[in-house]
Formats: sequence, C-alpha cells, structure tokens
Amino acid sequence: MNEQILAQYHILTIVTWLPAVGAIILLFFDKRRKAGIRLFANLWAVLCLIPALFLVTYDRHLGGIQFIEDVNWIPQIGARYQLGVDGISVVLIILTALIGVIAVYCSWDYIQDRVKEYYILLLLLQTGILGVFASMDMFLFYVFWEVMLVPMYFIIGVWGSENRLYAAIKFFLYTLVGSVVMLLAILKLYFIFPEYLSQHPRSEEILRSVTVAAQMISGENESMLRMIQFAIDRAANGLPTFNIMAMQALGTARLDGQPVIPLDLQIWLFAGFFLSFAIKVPMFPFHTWLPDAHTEAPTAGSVILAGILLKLGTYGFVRFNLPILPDASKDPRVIQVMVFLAIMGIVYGALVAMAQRDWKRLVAYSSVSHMGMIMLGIFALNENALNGAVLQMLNHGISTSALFLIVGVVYERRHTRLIADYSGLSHVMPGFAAVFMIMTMSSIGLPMLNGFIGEFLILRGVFEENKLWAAFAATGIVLGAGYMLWLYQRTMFGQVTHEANKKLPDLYKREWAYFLPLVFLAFWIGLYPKPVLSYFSKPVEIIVQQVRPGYAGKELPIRAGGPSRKRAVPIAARHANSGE
Amino acid sequence: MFLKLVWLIPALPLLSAAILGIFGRPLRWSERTISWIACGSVFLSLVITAGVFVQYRAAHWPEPYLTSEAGGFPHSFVWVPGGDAELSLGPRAGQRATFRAEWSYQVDPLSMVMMVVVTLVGFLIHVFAIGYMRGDGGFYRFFAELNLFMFMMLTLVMGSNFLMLFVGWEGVGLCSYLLIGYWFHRADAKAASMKAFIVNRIGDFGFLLAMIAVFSLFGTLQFTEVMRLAADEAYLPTEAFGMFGMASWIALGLFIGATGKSAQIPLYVWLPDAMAGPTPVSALIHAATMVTAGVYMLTRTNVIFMKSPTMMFVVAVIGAATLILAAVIAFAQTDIKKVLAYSTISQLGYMFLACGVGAFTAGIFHLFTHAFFKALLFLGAGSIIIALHHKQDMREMGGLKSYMPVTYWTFVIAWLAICGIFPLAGFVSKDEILWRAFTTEVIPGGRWFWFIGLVGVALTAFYMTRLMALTFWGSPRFVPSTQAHGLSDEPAPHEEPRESPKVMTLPLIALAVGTAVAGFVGWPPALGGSHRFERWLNPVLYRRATNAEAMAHHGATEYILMVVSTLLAAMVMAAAYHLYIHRKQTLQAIVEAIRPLYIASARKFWVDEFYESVFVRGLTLGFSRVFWRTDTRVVDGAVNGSAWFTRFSSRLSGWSDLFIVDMIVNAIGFGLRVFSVAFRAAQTGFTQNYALVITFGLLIATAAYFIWGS
Amino acid sequence: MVTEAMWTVLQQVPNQARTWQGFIDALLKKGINDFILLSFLLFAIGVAGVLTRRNILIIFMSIELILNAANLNFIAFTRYWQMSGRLSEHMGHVFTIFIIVVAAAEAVIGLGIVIALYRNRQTVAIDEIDLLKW
Repeated sequence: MNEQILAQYHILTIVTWLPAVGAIILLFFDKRRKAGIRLFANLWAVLCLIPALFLVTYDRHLGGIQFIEDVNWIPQIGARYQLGVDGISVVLIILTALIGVIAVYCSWDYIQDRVKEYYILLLLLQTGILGVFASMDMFLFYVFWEVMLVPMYFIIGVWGSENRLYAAIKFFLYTLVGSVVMLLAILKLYFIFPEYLSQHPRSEEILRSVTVAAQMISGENESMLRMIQFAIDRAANGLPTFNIMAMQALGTARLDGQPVIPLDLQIWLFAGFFLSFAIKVPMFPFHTWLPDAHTEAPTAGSVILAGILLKLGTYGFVRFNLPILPDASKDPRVIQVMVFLAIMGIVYGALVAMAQRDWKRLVAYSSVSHMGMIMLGIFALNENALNGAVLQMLNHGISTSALFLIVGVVYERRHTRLIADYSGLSHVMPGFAAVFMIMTMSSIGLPMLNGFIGEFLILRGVFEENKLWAAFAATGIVLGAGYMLWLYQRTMFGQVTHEANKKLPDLYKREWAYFLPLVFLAFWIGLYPKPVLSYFSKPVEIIVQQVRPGYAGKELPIRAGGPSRKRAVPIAARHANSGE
Repeated sequence: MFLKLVWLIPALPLLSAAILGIFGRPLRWSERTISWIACGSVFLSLVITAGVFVQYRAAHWPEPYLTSEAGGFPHSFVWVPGGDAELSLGPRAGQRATFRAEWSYQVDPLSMVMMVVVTLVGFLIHVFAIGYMRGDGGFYRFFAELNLFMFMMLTLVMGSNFLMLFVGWEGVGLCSYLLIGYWFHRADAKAASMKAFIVNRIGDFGFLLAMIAVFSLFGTLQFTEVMRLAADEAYLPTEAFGMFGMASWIALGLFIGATGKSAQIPLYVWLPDAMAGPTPVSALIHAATMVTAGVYMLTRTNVIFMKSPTMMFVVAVIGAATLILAAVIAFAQTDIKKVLAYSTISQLGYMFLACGVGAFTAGIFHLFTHAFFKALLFLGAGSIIIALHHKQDMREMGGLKSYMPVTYWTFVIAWLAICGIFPLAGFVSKDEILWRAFTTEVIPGGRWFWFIGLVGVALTAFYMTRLMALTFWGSPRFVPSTQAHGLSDEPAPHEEPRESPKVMTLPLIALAVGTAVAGFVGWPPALGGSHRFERWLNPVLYRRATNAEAMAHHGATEYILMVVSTLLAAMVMAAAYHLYIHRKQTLQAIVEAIRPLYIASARKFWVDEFYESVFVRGLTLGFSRVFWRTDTRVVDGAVNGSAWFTRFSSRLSGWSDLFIVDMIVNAIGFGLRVFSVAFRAAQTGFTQNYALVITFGLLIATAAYFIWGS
Repeated sequence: MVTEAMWTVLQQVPNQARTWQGFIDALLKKGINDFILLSFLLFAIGVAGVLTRRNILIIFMSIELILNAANLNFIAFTRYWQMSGRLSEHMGHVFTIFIIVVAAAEAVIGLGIVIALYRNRQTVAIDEIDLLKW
C-alpha cells in the first residue's frame, strides 16, 4: 500500500533526478562564490538522501520490482522510461545516496579550484549511478550507464593528481569498449524478443511459457506482473521491448524443458554482457584501469569509484547475466571461467596489493581482491553465496570508501601517498588510528564487523559447490589480513620518523562527521545484519530459482488459474491509455 | 536468578571497554577512575559467574546444555539469516537446510569451567595490571582493550554455536594483536603483533572451512545439535585408525585452527614474540586464557575428534612434539618472559597430548590448573620486571629472593606446581594426563606418549629450576645503573629493587592460593579423591562409559607412575639447582660439550628464520613481487600495448592522410589558387563591400526582371 | 503625401470603425500602393544604413528595418488578398511571426558576437574587421 502511494509520488524519479536538479541550480551560481557553492552542494546532497531513505518502505514480503514508474519515452523503438527497484537495488541506491553525501562532504577543503564545475559533475554522476540502479528498461539503463562515464572522466582528469590524464583516458576508453559490446548484446535481445513471441514457428507455446515465467518471477507482485505482461503483449504483436524483467521472463521460460533462448546464443550474449560488467567490476585480466583511476582520482572520486561504481558491474551480473541467461550462467564451462577469474582476482589482487608502495594503490588492489570474492559468491549460484555477495557489495562500499577517505585524510595533510613517508601516526593521530583500525578489521572480515558476514556467507555457499574453491577463497582472507595489517603496521606503528609527521592534527570534526556513519554502519551490519539481509533475501531466492529451478527443493509458485491470456489484454489496454 | 543474568557476564566488560575507549581520552579520567571501571566490570562478571555456577550446579547439572535458543535464558537474536541452502555432505546431501546463526550464549559444564577461569584469573590480572601499568600514557587504552578481550574470551567460551565461537576466536585474536602492539612505538612489538595476527589467521583458515563443512554435513552450527547428530553413525561414521574420512577432514580443519590459537607446531612461532606486550597481557592472554582456546575447542568438538582415531593420533603427536620442542628451546633462553612463553607452549602441548589420547577432561583440567600457576609465574615475572625497571634479561638478575619476598615465595609455589610436585595443582593435572596417556585405548602407542610426557616433566623441571636459579637465587648481577632502560620517560632507577606494591602482590598471593588448592578439584581416586572435575565435565563428552570405566580402574600401576614422575622431577630439580648454584664449572663444561645443540636451542632451531625466508619472503612476497611485475608489464602492458597500437595505426593513417590523400587535395587547391588570382582581389574583407555587391546584384536582378521579365 | 492620404481616409471612416483594424482595412480598400511605398522606404533606409554606417550596432538596427519592411509587406498583402477573397489562411502572419522570432535570435547571436568582438578588439567599427576574407 505504502509502496503504491510512494510510486504515485514518483519517488524513483525524484531519487534519480534530484541530484541533477541540484546540478542545474548550481549552474546559476557565481563561480567565484565558492563558499556558497559548497554549502549548497552539501545541503543538496543531504536533500538527495532523504527521498532515497523512503525506499526502505520496500515491501520485503512481497518482493519483486516495486515503486514502478512507466511512461512512454521513444515509442518508435519501444524504449520506455521505466523505473523500478527490487531489494538489491534498494540497498544499493541507499548506499549510493549515502556515499554521495560523504563524497560531496569530504571535498570541502580538498577541492579549491573550479569548485562549481566539480560539484556539478559530482551531482550529475550521482544521477547517472542512481539511474542505472533504478532502470527497468535496458535502453534507459544503457543511457545512464554511459552518461555516468563522462562526469567521472572529468573528475579524474581535472581534479586528479599527477598522472590524471592517463588514468582518466584509460578509465574512459576501457569502460567504453565494454559497454559497446554490451550494447550489441542488448540489441540482440531486443530483436529476438518479439521475434520469438510472434514469428517463431512455435510462438504460441513460447508466449504461454513466457507468461508463466513472468507470473513465477513476479509472485504476488501485481504491478510487476502488469509491467511484464504489457511488454509481452506488445511483443506478441511483433513490437519490440527493452524491459529487463520481460527479458528475464524470456530467459526463465522453458520449451519442452529446453531454454527458449538456445544455449549457444545465451553464451554469446553472456560474453557480451560479461565484458562490460567484468571491466566494471573489475575482474582479473581487466582490472588495470582500476589502480590508475583510483590512485589518480581525488578522494571523492576514489570513494565513489570504489564505493559504488564497482558495484555496478556485480549488479549487472546479478540483474542481467544470471536471470536473463540462466543456462549460460550455469554452463560448466562458463562457471569454470568465471570462478577461475574470480579466484585469480582474489589471490592475485591480494598478492599484488602486498607489493605496493603507494597507500592508495594498495587499497585499490585490495578492491580487486574483494570484488573477486563477490564474483565468486555470485557464480556459486546459491542463496547463501548470493546473499553474501550482495551484502558484500554493501560492505565493500562501506569499508573501502572509508579506507579511501582515510588515505584522503593523510594526503590532504601531507600531499604524499607513499607508505614509506608515514610511520608511527598512532602517536600523533590516535582518533584516526582508531578509525583506521576499525575499517582495517572490517575490510579483513573480522566478526562483529560487516565484512565477516558477507565473506562467511560467500564461503559457505561456495563450499557447497566446490570445496577447493572455498579453500582458495579462504586463502584470500589470510592474505587480506596480511597486506592490510602490514599497511597498518607500517603507517601507524613504530616511531614517527618524518619531521613533517610530528605535528599532524588528528581528525577534524568534519572528518569525524563522515567517518562516524560508516563506522556505525560497519558495526550495525556486523552485529545485526538481519534487517539489511531481509531486503534482498527474497529477490535473491527468486534469482537462484530462475537460474537453478528447484534449488533446495523449492519451486517458484505459479499463481492459481494458470496462464490466462484473457486477463492480460484489458490490463495492457488500460496501461496504454494511462501511459501514453 | 543468576541464570537470567548470563548475558551480563560478557556484556559488562564490553560496556566497560566501550566506555573507557570512547570517554577515556577526551574526559582525561584519572587512573583510579579507569581502574575502578575496568576491574569493577570484571568483578561483577566474576560474581555473576559464581552465582550462575552455584545455581547451575544445584538445579541443572548433569543436564548438559542450557542454551538461550532452548529458552534457558533470554537475549538471543538471529544474527546471520543466510537463506536456504542445500547440504553437500553426508546422508542428507542435496536436502534443504536453512542457514541461520544466532547470537546466543549457553551454559554447560565445559563453558562453566572456562567462565570461572576467565573471570577469576582475568579479574586478578586486571588488578595486577593497575600496578603494572601505573604511569603509562595509554592507561585508558590498555584497560579498554583488556576489557574488550574479556568480552571476546567470554563470548568464545559461552557461545552456543560455532559462529559465536568464531566471533570470540577472532575477537581474542584482535585483542591479542592490539595488546601485543600496545607499545606500538617499539619495533619488536609492532612486528610481533602482526605476526600473531597473521599466524592466527592461517589457523582460522582451517577453522573456517571446518566450520562450513560442519554446516554442510549437519545443517546446523548449534553445538547441542551438532554434537547430538555427530554422535549418530549415519552422519559421521567412526573411522578406523589410519583412515582419513569425513570426521578426519573436519577434525583436521578444526585442529589447524587450534594449532594457530594454541601455539602448537607448526604455528607456535607467534607466541614467544608476543611477549613484547605488557606482562599482564602475557599472563592473561598468552598464558591463562586465549591460548587455551584451542584445547577448549577440541573438547567442545570432542565427538568429531573421537570418531577419527587418525586425527587423535595426529593431535597427540603434535602435542607431544610441541611439548618437547618448546621445552628444549626454553633451555637456552635468557629473556625471562621468553622462557615462560616456551613453557606455556610446552604445557599446551601437554593439553593437546591429553586430548589426543582421548582424555579431554584431563586436558581441560590441566588448562584449569595451568591458568593459575602460569598466570602466577607471569605476574611474578612482571613484578620482577617492574622492580628492575623493565629489564627482562635473566643474566642481569639473580639473588632477588631477599629483595622481593612475596614475589619469591609465590613464585616458588608456582615453580613447584609446574614441575609437578605433590600435592600442588600441576602435579594432579599432569599426572592425570600421563596416566591417561599410559592407559589410552583410543590410539595406539600410549606408552610412548607417556614416555615423551615423562621426558617433558624432566625438561620442565630443569628449565624452571634454571629460571629460579638465575632470577632469585645466587648473587645479584643487576647493575644499579642510572641509565634509563625501556621506557624513556621513566624516572632514574632506585639503587636496589624493591618489592612491588600491594595491588600487585595481592593478586600474586591469591593466585598462589589457587595454585595450591586447584588440584583438589580433580583429586584422583587413586589418592582417595573422587574425580569431581571429570564427573562434572562428563555430560559434554562422547563415550562417557569408557571414561567412567577408566575412572574406576586404577591400581598399582598408577601409583608407580606417580612416584616415577614426581621422583624424576624432584631429581632433575635438585640436579639443576646443584649445577646452577654450586657447580657452575660443570655446567659450563656441559654447555661446551653440547654446544651445537645449545646454540640451536638458543636460536630456536632457526624456525623463525626458516618461515621468514621460505613462506614470508620466499612464497608470499616473492609471488607478490612477481605478480606485481606481471601486472604492470603483462596485463597492463597488453592494455597499454593496445593503446600504443591504436596510436601507431592512427599515426600511420595520419601520415598517409597527409602525404597521399592530402597531396591530391592540395594539388586541386593549388590549381584553384592559381586560377583564382583575379577573383581574390574582389575579396576585401569589408562587410559593407559585400553588402554593396549584394545590393547592386539585387537591383540588377530587379531591373532585369522588370525589363525582360514576365 | 502619405499624411495627406491618411487624413482623407480618416475623414471617410465611419465613427464606429475607428480602430486600427478598421483604419487599415479602410486604407487597404483604397489599394495596396501606399503600403508598398512605406515598405520600400523602410527597406531603402535600412539598406542605406547597412551600406554606409560603420557602427555594427547601427547596422543591426538597419537590418531590423529591412526585416520589418518585409514584415509590413507580408501583412499588407495577406490582408489585402483576404479582403479580396483570394486568400483564406493567415499565411503572411505566420511568416511575420517567424521573421520576428528569427530576427530576435539573430540579434541575440549577433550582439553576442559584437560583445565578444569588443572584448577582443575593443571596437565595434565594421571597417576595422576584415577577417571575413579568410
């Protein structure tokens, strides 16, 4: 009920576009009035967080896609402005809004030139990311996905450190290559969907099967079913659609027990999506843009990159690859490749992190390792691991953001990132040392802090599939403790060796203000993750059932009455009236 | 009534830790306030523990478990609801199980013993630490961390499922890390703390996997459930000796975890280094409580171990090997705390030996008595260290007996206890282990293990007597120098060492009393006792019948063994005393004769160097560097290479564009230019010229229209 | 000449039709020549301004005159044809609106260029700007 009221108020549109509105308002500011711009940007970021918090009213028992908004956008190609979120995106959107506030806030002192442009770009970036999480239309998704690159490119390229141009161009081109391939996959899906439902020799059967699948994945969620049914009805008349959930229904549909989309095609499509998402995650051989981009970006840029942007890749896998291409996702060859790359990422990332002399680069490589863990959790394809993986996305967003902020704190004071330039900081900055310790422990997965829950669930799920994988992943945990504690030891312990370090001020109040929420979240998720887990446990359950029907002896319920074409038509007609 | 307050036992120290950690620095509390808060919280825990003990004993024992899930007491909540899973091992493979771990505590005979040890010894050490840490800059931080440790340790022993055990397990590791590195400005402390954490993590690797395997097999992590199901042959078949099946694999993982935490071969190397922490920390964490967590865990999961004789044998072998190796290394150490550290490792070896031969109660009993006498030894050492202004080298001690009488006499009791002299605590528990090893039917070769244990007795007696001789007896060798040592902000030392203040000696006395009487809790029937300790623990043990049988069966052999070990210890003590006090030349000669062995012992058999060069520098850092180079050269090289190729091809096309395509264009352009010389003159660049031309053109066009148009 | 014509016309207009609409319609009844004449004069003034003045701003104003001359023609012819029943749509009005809009846009851009020019060269004299050659 609540959900519907909020959807009427276009809550998702507000959440998505509010930062962009702020950016537009900022355009009218005199660029010399830096203080005013700063104040406005900060207040606006907080304002953007408020509607995002309303999303906690997501109905966890109902599940599925909620807060749906649906307006015709480009009728010529069937692209619609469709927004909607499930539990996974709710959690990630709230994280994005929160990290957004922190990213804006932490730039208060650090950014001194081109302040206005900086905040405008930061807010635009925010809209891009939120749009990706909220899109239910692949075309819209793709637009947001690409739009997001531009502000990030400028943030790295303009406000970064010495080698920024190289890093920015590398980031941009690398990501662009991936997304172009994804576009091909999206287009292929776009073309086959109406083809299967209207021109295929057995299109009637496929239609029925897809309708059943749509009912299964939407469960009791009426509005979600209506959205899918509308796309299916259009497709039955040969009209194309970009709706993600309809594609999921197609992927889940079975024809005589065989997938409707043939396995070969699924694997090709998988490869297309894979390249884009794997670059974003980043998975093992595609990760080299990350250390450069993270290291060169300003603190806020690194925070957003590590905290949110990387999650877009894993989110993509969970939203596209698994449910739309379930048979490719569980194909043993694909799994072997994915798991190999994930484990390589874990071990390799950790070992390379150990060799770093640059503080920020070390944290960046630790991200490679942690994201490998999340990927492993996703491709274990069971509930525990997937729950763990989604939770770990959140955890990584919290702890790695905090670690980048921590680097930012000392970088602002000393303007060097070399680990060797720091030693014994615990003496001069005890509060900082405490925060850093908590976040280090969160990052290496100490129980009672957030990282542990995610890692443990992932390990548990992975163990169920293959004991050896779990053993490798657990190695990553040992190595993780190694490089993080070594970093801590080198920077925080010992005598203060550099003269410049002797008078470093401890955390300012402003810095406390952005660390405390993160610390609080780390403890909260570590001690009582149930509320957070409950948001995505149901969507995760459905995704697992989509990929592996009958996992753990469960079945997706088909609603009583079975597939009925009669009911769907008037709904679609009503939809057409209201939507266009 | 007390059973309702069980959750307070860990919660109080946590609360205190939080208060001290958050407010200690900003409010600049005095040492007195901090001590009251820190020790008060632990004391309250101790009181509640005592109450729980009395109530549990009267009303519930021998009902084995009292858990919060079962409604025994309130305050548990679902901690990790992980969703549904399929079991992957055992008879129920492929069936559904819901993964949910609860945050809950349980009270049973085993955790009761541990709770008593932890709160009692912990409280005494807290009090001692007030004196020991006096004047230290981070007083609040020290007690916050020590209290946090109490919370973690109590969570470890009271948790009612594997995950809770793991919380405590990692948590004590964290506190150990923080407290070893308490004086983080010191290079040794900073290296030791990290070493301790990493080595423990290696152990956790095994524990974690074993824990997950337990869930995959039983579908629950609840101790009560796991132990009930594990006893079922359908789930976990009993294996023959030499077989390595499911039980063995799980036991192996658990045991790897235990070797890390309890400093057994091959993961014992962190414990001696951990002595870089303040001495109360060494006493509490690295002697009395945390390092015994491995023994606790083995006993907790005794069903699984008992099903795998192979792993039991491995446990016994590792325990035996550790007890000998550590004792031998203790021979040549000169740092008083290092000797005690190796002694701890050696005693832990005894406990593992006990577990390995199936005498879990004996292991826990030794844990219990060891907590008293080893804490006493460490605190005594701490008292000496304070008196000598942070000097730990025994070569600079000697003759302290007359300066520090209380410390000396309490130390003597501990010394006698650890050497196994009748009727002190150490004697009772150690003989229990030896006797059980001798008569074991769980694994083959019991007599050999007994013999190794006996050798250990002799070695223990020798190095402990050496310690006594070097510190308390003989002539003083400490230099009453004015040179400050250790902490720089310390006042110049007094002329001669003085007895420590009451706040430090009272805990010593209390522990000495404990050391003297703790043994009577488990007085063996052979000496007229009734094995109360063993009967107490029986409900949580698998194959109770066998135990009861062994209890009943005693005879002449047991007396002979007791006499043999006591006599051996006494003789070695006498010999060592003689050598170190009266026959230094002979000692020197002996040392010369076995010089290679002596050096090897002093250098700890180069194990640290071996680990460092092979595992740390060789494998980890080696791979790390190789991968780093691969990353920049190969992986990133490919990326940059493709960028270079793109740039190269673009330059190539740029070149061809310039010299081929453009040439043609330029040729056309040149022709036009030549052709257009005349026309160029008209282009003045003045706007109005053009406008004029346009106007005239317009006029001409209009005129033309009127003239020729229509 | 024109004023005289206006006066004569005004005398002939009945009292109730003394609005602009009525006035113009009455004028148009006489024929369209007066309007063409006015428009031509405006056009000629505009062209003369464009060709002779140095100040770009004045040239702009002159261009406006030229455009308005065209507008006047459009309006007049449309009305004239409407009254004579040869045309039923408001075609000329539409063109006029378009021209006004385009003129405004052009003026904005032009003035922008002028300002940029002034910033760079400190002049608005058109004969000092001969960059159009390239």
